[in-house]
Amino acid sequence: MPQAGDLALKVSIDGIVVHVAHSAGMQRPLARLLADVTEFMTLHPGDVLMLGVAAGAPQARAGQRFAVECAGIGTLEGALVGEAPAGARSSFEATP
Amino acid sequence: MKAARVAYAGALHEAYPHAQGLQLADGRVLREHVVMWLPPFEVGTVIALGLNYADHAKELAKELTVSAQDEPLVFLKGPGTLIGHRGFTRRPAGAGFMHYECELAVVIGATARHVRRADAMSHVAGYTVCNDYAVRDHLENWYRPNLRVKNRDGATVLGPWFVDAADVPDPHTLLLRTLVNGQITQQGSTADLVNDIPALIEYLSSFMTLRSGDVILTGTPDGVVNVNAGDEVVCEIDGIGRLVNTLVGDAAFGR
Repeated sequence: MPQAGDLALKVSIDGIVVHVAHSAGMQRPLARLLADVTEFMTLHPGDVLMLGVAAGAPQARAGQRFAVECAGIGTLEGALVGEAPAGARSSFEATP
Repeated sequence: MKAARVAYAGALHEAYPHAQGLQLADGRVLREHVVMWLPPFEVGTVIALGLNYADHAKELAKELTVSAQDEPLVFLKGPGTLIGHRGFTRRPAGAGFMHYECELAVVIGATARHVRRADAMSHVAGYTVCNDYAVRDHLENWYRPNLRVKNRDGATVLGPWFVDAADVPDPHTLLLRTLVNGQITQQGSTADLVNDIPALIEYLSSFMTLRSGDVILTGTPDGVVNVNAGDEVVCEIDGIGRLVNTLVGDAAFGR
């Protein structure tokens, strides 16, 4: 990933692109974040540094599907489900 | 019952208090300083409370952008922060104000999700002492909440003993204190917790599942003072334990 400092992130909800962001727009570039954070905590293989979200992040409701796509990295897909109301909760929470 | 996890003579052991120090499960009796003390249980998620004693909140008020607390101020810590009794913690030379925080650590013993206050204490396995060091210089910086202040390598000291909940009839009347080089600098009581243990379990389990081994660091009272490389810091909670830590300078860490 030679261009990790400039990646496009595309968010879709129910198949429609609703948000596009670029990692080049970060306040602090990746190298700076790694330098800052490793001054006080050791990062090990498998640790994850999440770089934050761009302005204008879309909202999604229970029942909708989302996809977050980053060219060269992959597409992460999932669905949102509602939480059962308090009175209906059980030790295992059924999904629709 | 009180139990510790220690390394000794090339192996890990469970150990118990003994008049001369500690006794390994295999029967050997040892003095406290000849073993390596680990955090006394397999630690899961570390949940830390800020501002959970009113007097400490007042002490910090000038540096904070938050004031009145409608909900507990909570954050998480990673596994690299943990060290055991009698360990060494780095004291960065460039920090203007690094302080200890003596805290009651509540260890979860049974999965908790949407737990009501009345049932909360049945999810507690036991208790230990925590010294939750903070580098105050970074309280309101970019790396919030509290990452650079508190999620520091080896700056969350836990131990020496895991104490069964059954042996602590009332965890809300425990006296706690900190001694720096033998001088008492901090004193308080868990009676003064803003959010008591059932309230914390009810609150946290309303949005996240607590599991066995997760630990809630319940916050510290006022009386925090700057500490320096070379200082010995002892955090004590009556009936729970006496937790010793020594601060060392950057050179030991190659800085």
